[in-house]
Order: sequence, then C-alpha cells, then structure tokens
Amino acid sequence: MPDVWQERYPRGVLVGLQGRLDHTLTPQLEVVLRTLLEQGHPHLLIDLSAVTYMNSSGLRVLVTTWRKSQKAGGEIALCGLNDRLLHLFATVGFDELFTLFPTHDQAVEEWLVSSG
Amino acid sequence: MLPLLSQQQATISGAAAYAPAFVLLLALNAWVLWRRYRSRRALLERVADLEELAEAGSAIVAAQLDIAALSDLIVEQADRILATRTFQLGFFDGPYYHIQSWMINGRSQPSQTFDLRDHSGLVGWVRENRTHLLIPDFFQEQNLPARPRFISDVPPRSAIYIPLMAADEVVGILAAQSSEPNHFNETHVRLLTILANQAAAAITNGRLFLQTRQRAAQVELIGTITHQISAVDNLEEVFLRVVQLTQETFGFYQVNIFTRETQQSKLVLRASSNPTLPLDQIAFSFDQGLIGAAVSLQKTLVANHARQDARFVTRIGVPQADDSWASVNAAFITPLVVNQGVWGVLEVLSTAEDVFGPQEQEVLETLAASISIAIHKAQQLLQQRLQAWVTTARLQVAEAIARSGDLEEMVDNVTCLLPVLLGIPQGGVLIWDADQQLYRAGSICGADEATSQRFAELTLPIGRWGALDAVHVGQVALQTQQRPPWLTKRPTNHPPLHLLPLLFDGWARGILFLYDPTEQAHPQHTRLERDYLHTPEMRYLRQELLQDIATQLSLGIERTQLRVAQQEEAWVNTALLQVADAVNSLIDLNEILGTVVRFIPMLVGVRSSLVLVWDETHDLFRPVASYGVNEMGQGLLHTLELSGAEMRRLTHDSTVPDDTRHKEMTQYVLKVPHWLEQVMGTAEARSLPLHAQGRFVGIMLVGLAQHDQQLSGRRLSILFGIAQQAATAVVNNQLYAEAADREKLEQELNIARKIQTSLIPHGSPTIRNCQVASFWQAARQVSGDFYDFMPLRDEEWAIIIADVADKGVPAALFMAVSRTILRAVVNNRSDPADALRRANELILGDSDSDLFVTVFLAIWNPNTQVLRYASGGHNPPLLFHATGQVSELQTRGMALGVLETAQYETRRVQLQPDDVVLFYTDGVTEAINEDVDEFGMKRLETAVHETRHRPVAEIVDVVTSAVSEHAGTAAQFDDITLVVLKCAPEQTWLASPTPVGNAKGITQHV
Repeated sequence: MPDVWQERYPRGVLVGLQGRLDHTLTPQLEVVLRTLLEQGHPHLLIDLSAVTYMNSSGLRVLVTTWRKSQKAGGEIALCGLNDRLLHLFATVGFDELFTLFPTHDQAVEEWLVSSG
Repeated sequence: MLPLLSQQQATISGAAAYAPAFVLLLALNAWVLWRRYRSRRALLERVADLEELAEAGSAIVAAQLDIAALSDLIVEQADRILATRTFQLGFFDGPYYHIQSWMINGRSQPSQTFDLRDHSGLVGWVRENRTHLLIPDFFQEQNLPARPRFISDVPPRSAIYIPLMAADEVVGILAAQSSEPNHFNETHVRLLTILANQAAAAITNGRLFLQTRQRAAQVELIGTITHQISAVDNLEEVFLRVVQLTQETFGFYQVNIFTRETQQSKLVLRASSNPTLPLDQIAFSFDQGLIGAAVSLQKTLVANHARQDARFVTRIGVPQADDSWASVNAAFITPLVVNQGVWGVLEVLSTAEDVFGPQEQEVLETLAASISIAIHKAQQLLQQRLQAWVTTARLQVAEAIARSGDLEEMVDNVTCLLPVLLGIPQGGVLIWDADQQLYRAGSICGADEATSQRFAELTLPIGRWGALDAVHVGQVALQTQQRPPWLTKRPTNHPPLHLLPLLFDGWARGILFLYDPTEQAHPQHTRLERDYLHTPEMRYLRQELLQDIATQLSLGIERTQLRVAQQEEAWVNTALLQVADAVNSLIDLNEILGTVVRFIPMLVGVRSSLVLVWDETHDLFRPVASYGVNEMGQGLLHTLELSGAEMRRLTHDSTVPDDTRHKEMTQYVLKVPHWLEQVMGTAEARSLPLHAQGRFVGIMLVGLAQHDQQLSGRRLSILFGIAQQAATAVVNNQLYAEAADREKLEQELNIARKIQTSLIPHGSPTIRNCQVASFWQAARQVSGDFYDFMPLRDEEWAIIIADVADKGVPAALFMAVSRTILRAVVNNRSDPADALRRANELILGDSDSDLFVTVFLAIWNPNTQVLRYASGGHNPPLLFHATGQVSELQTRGMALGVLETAQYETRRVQLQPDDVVLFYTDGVTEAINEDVDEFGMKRLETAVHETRHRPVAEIVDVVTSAVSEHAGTAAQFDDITLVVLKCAPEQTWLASPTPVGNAKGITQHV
C-alpha cells in the first residue's frame, strides 16, 4: 500500500495516509491534496488512522488545504485521530477548524456517502 | 621284327652266293684268303669304326653343354661314321619337333620347327615306337610306316632314323639320308645307335645344365629387377623395365602389367613387352576374364591351357591388325597387392601350353612381390613429396601474409597463391565489414577483366546470397552449384563453388570462395600422382591445406583489422580527448557546445549536428549550438523553441524525459519535418538523448550525409562519446549555476540569520522579583521559533514564546513579521488575550501566507508575582511549584494566522517563591534519538524537577544538555527554544522602585 492513497465517493474524496506526518510524508500529501483541490474536489475526508505522529509541517498542510477548501466552498473532515493527535489539535486549536470523526467508517458514511 | 628288316637280311644273304665249282678249291682258297683279307679288313674297319666311335663319343662327352654346339658336334661325328652329307638332329618340344642341326648335302640349314599335331610323320613314328627305322630305298619301299613330314626338292633314296633315348623318353631323332639306295646297313644302325645313345646322354646333361642355368638367370633377373626398380622412383619406368626384362630373360611370349583405375573400377594396361600395344586402352572390368578373376580372388591364376579355360576372353582394345593374341595358349596372372589391396596384375603369356610349372609360378610371384614393394615405395615417396608440398605451401601462405602491409595487400598475396598451390581455376576472398554489416570485395584470381572490375565494386549485405548467409551464420564450409551473378567465367567441367568461412574468435571475418579443382589433373602430374589425386589421403591433404590457408587468412585478417582498429581507436581517442579538452578548458556552455558540434561531422562523417538543451521548468527545447546548418537555417534556429510535446512527436516519444527512457547509449530515428530538413540539410536524422549524472538535459540531433548512411559500430560509439561529453558540459553548467544559486542563497540565509538573531534577545533582562534565562537553537540557518522579553509599563514584563509552522526562509520572514506585530500590540494592550486577538487580525490581514504561528504570551507582574497569560495554540508551559508539584498553564486559543474569528482567553496564576515556569517549543519534547524515541514530557519534567532549586541558567543548561544527550548524533528537524522564569525567593523580593500609581495601573489592567 502506498503511503498516501485516495478513494472516490459520491460526495467527495477520501485521502488516506500512513506513517509520520512530518518532513517524510508531508510533501507527498501536499501534492495529493493540492491536486485534488485543483481538480475541483474541495469536499475531503482525510483519514489519519494510520498516522502516528504529526508536527507543525503536517499541520501547515492541513491548514492550507482547509483554507483553499473554504474558498472553494468545501469542507475538510478528519477521522481516526489518536490521542496524541487529538491533544495536538486541541493545543493548537484546530479542532475548531475541522470536523472530526472518531472512526473511518463513520466518517465515510456521514461525510462522503450520506447527502445530509 | 619288322618286315623291312627281314627284307634287308635277305638281300645281304643273297649277295654272298656266287663262285665256280672247279675253282672251288682255288676259290675256296682265295675265298679263304679273301675272307681272311675281308675279315682282316672288317676287323680293321671295325677297329677303325670303334676308334671313330670312341673318338666321337669322347668328343661328344667332352663337348660343351651348349645344346646347339652339341647338336652340331653330333651331326659332324655322325657324318664321319656314315660318310653321308645329309643329316639332321631334332628335338621334341611338346607337340612340336624342332630341328636343331640340319645339313643337306653338306650345307647347313636354318633350324625349323614342325607342329606334329596334325601330321606326325616318320619322326613321330620313331618317337612313338621308340625304335630305329632303316629305309634302304624310298622308291622300292611300298609300306612306309608313316608319311614323311618333310618332302624336299631332292628327295632321298635311303634313310636311317635313330631315336635319342633319355631314360624312357624319346627326346629327339638323329637321322641320316642319302641320295643312293641301300646306302645304310645294320652296322650303320648299330654305330649310330651307339652314337645316339651317347648324344642323348650328352644332350640330357646339356638340358639339365641349361635348366639350371636358366634358373640361375631367373634368380639373377629377380635380383636385377628388384635392384633396378628400387632405384627408379618413376613407376612408369619401373613397369616398362619389369615387362621387358621378364620377357627377355624368360623368353615368354608377352609380359604385361595392368593397374586398377579406382575411378572407373577397371583394370587398364599400363606396361607391355610388346611396344605396339596401346596402353590405357586395353582394359578389363573386375568381373571380366582371367585378369578379373585373379583380382577378385586375390590370388595367382595359372591357365596352362588358356584356350580351354572358360574365363578366357578375347582381349578388348587390341587393334585388329595385331594377331599376337591369337597365338596365346597359356597365361599366368598374379595380383599386385599393395597395402592389402589389389593394385594391379602381372600377366605373362606363352604361345606354348603347359609352360607354367611350380617353378615359374614361384619366380613370377616373387617378381610380383617385388613390383608391389616398388609400388608401395613409390606411393610412400609420393606421399612424402605431397606432404613436403603441403608444408612448403603453408610456408608460402604464411610468408605472403607476413610480408603484407595492409589487409588489401595480404588478401591479394594469398589469393595469388591459390592457382599456384592448389591449381584453383578461380577463387577469391570476401571481407566482412562489421560496421556496415555486409561483405566487401577482397581479392579475386583467375577472373577476366570485366569480372574483376565487377568484383572490386561488390558489396553483399546479408540476405543477398543465400549460400553466403548460410556460411556466415552457420560458420561451416559448404559447396554450391549456384553461380553468383558477379562470377561469370566458370571452369569447363562445372565443379562446385566452395565457400569457406574465415573464422576468428567465433565469428566470420571473411569468406574464401573457390571452384574445387580436385577433378582436374595437372598436365605435369605423373600417372601415379594423377591417380593419387583421387585418393582419400590426397583429398584430405588438399582439404587440410585449404583449411590451413583459411585459418591463416582469418588470423591475418584479424591481425590487420586489429591493427587498423587500434590505429582508428587511437585516433578516435585523440579526437574525443580534444572534445573533452574543449569541454574542460572552456567555461561558457555555448562555446563548449559550439566546439562539440563542430567535431561531430568531422569525426562521424555526418552532414550536420544540432544540440538542443531542455529547459525543465518550461518543458522547452532550445537550440544552443549547431554545425553544418546554412544561414537560413541558423536564422530559423535563432528563434526556435520546441515544446516537450513537439519534441515527442519528432522523436516518436523516444528521447523525451520520462523515467523509463533514461537510457544512455541509445539513438533514435528522427521524423524530420520539412522545416527541420531545411535546417539540417537532410531528411535522414538521428537523435541522441543527452544524459549525464542521472539527468536528462537535452537532445543531440545529427543529419546523415546520405540516405542509407549506417551509424553503427565505431561511428556510433564516437557519437555516444561526444553526446556524453556534451551532456556532461550541460550538466556541469547546470550544477555550476545551481552551486552559484546555492551560494547566493547561503549568503542570503546568513544575512537572514544575522537579522533574525538580532531579533532574538541577547542575554537575559533583569526583571524584578524573578529570574529569566533562555535558549534558542535553529535546526537550519534560520528558525521559525522565537521568544521575546518586553518591558511594559509599571515594571511589568511580557514574555513571549512562539513557533512558526514550518522552517526556512518563509518561516523566518513570518517570524519577523509576527514578532513585530506582537511587539506592537503587546505594547498597547495589557490583556494578553486581547493582544493575541489583535495580533491574529493583523497577521491574517498582513500576509497571504499559508503559514501560522503558535504563541504563548505571559505578562509578569513583579509586585504581585502574578502571571497573566494567553495562548495562541502553543504548548502550555510547565509550572514547577516549589513544593514539587507540576502543572500546565492551560488556556484555549487557536494558532495565529488561521482564523479571523479566533477567540483567546486570559488566565492568571499566582506564583510562589522559587516556583519555576518553563516555556518551550515542541522542538524540545520532540527531539528524537537514533531510535526515533522522543525526548518527551517525562524527561523534560524530570530534568527541571531535579534542578528547580538551582539558578535559572543552570536549569536551562541541564535541560539543553539532557536534550542533546538524548538526541546524540541523530539529526534534529525542529528548532529548539526554552525560556525559564523563576519566581525570586521571598527574602530577596524587592519593593517596587516605581511610583505606586504605576503599580495601581497594572492592577487596573488585570
């Protein structure tokens, strides 16, 4: 499995990633997300279930994506954050920026499939 | 008794009966006297006769053992006894009667032989009855026992025939004749009989002597022949001498030697004692006649009655005029066996029957053995000579190759030798051109002017001539009956064309082609050599020699080609060195590529060359250097820009950067549009991608000189070499530019760092009732972290710690902006939350940046030891109570620069003496070691907890050394910033030096 992957759903795109979201994975994710936004997919779900660590560069990419998505009238949801990531998001205050789902399945169902 | 004898007796008694009666007494007396006289005379005569006989006998006995001389002597002695002038002495020889000595009326007659088979005559009667015959008078005689065999012109009246008896056999006849009747009486018979017996004994002795002598002569002959044939190495001469000597010595009728013709499986006459017989024309097949039988049985055949032998056949090829064959009655044939095979036969013919006894057989077989040995010797000699010839030929070829200066001369020299050494009517050499992948003319011999000229211009690519392809690929020799169109002249007897590969190191360097002349005998060859040409040994020798020539030639070709290749390689290396020199010595890329493209047509022989460099950022190909392009083309090139897509179309998607196509040493056929054809001056072009150090940097185009110009082998490797040099030049140029950029960037970064460092507080300010210390370390040249101490009104101090997301120059710039904004807003606002909210607005309004910053802002009141604080998404600082407890300065608030509507909250905490507050950025807790284990909160807390009673500077030292100890040699990715604030101990508290009003002011703000 690649480190970053995509799944298309009726309402948007799921981007999954795996590993440490720091200088090793961030550039790759940045390209994927930028491309998706350029291609007109502002409604995204980013699955962080397999992400063990995130630093400020990872946060920056998510914030940038959020900004662009906002401009394009979309929204970004995150799912599967571990405790550490939840703590990080709380600290930085980004839990207010993104819709957070505890699990992948719930997020896909509510964010990407159901039209509500 | 015979009636003839009684008649004679009657005649004799009648002659004594006459005398008168009266003179009976007288008469008686006289008669007595007469008788006495007669008796005396008779006695005397008898004595004389006996004396004569004794004399004759002793003469005969004493005579030489020569039959002819003996015969003459016997006749002479008989003549003395009989006083007759007509005598003959003859001998029987089978059915023949041979008169050895013959005298008629005292005149010697030539010897003569009579065949007694049809008419045996009186001699036959005497031989048969083994007794004498006295004929008193032929005229009176009515009852002759046989008809005389010979009637002369002057027939005799009387005759006497005495048999010569040896043992029980009548070997001859002694006969006397007289023209007078009654010339011979019994006394003659008696006397002659005695003489005849003596003569018979003498003649038998003579014959025995003759036989012994003949035998000795035969043995001597064998010795002579053996000696002679061993001295002669020409078999033709040996054969001729053998047949002549054998015929002369033995007195046979005819002696012949036949030899075997392997090609036609027949025996032909090779030598004959009869010089009139046509050699080579008289022949027998193996199953024909006595000769054929002797060959197939491989043993001697004796036909003493040849005419009665069923295998006897009339000789073929004998001229009608020659009747010698008709008189042959006995034949002896013995095979000549050489190396266990029948090589020919020795044939001895006789007119007489029953002449070949065991003795003759033994002698002739010995002779045949000698001939066989001679043949064997001659063969060996020939073989030695041929071997010597092969050796000489090899040396000649080797010498021809050695003295040749170049390939052309060498091939010429060797080809010239083909007709001389092997009698090859037409042949030559084709040379493989590995560059062009075809065969070229090497050299030809035995061809006419037109063919030679046609040959000289010959090129034969694979696929043109099937036989050649087969030899080239199969690498084995073959022969074909198909004549290639460029070879017109063809030897008369249509021999096959042989093709021999000239192999070296597993591939064909050339082809040797020739018409095989094996079938053609050289006119100077001896008969034996001609025969030998057809033997397997000879074929093998020829093949061996041919193969040897091929091997030597291929070695020679390889050597000269290698020499040429070495020279060329040296030249190419020099040329490439010049190119490399140009690349290294010149600095300007355009100048370098300009030099490189000038080399290409010169070194590779193409028409034009063009280098296009790829601009990766814009995916554009731009011509940088060209050569062989006309003025108009240059004008066109001046403004030319080819997009990646256009280049892909030109090169069939072949040379355009693509991860899978980064291959070096490749060339592609180019689709040349009309405009490019104008530029390059040709519609045939190749493109070579320029790669160096893993980078694709451009394309080199070469316009071919002619339509079907092949770029292979050496030319291609030169081209690749040049492309490599060009690519290296471009890459070096890029690297140089990048290095220059980096250096510039480095300088800029250093300036940025200096600026940034100047923004970070130097040393720790003195703040009333607390101690502060700090640490700041960037992971790279510039940092996204910063901290600040700001004196506010009423001795209050703002303590700021911040962390800009991401690193590098943008982060540093963002940091500078954020610091300036924070300084401004904190100066005007006493409420931290209010200050952050305003700062957030300003940051968002000021920049379009994607960046954000987390900020923790605390304001220290020295009078109350209260710390008011707000957080913009920053890590909550740790409060180490003097009592030992640890807590976090928690408060909510989003990082600055993200959301305009972000809300912040101010909280306050009352510090106690010796309480320690640790402000930090996540670079501290997330510092990793080589196992990617983070320093973490626990270690941080422990480090501070243990040193909380010590001065702040020491706390900072302990923490930073704990972090660096933990990290070890692992690379750090984050900036590290620490600020430690320690509330002063109670006894050191200082009262405010400032007016109370100020203190009140602060309170008001709280």
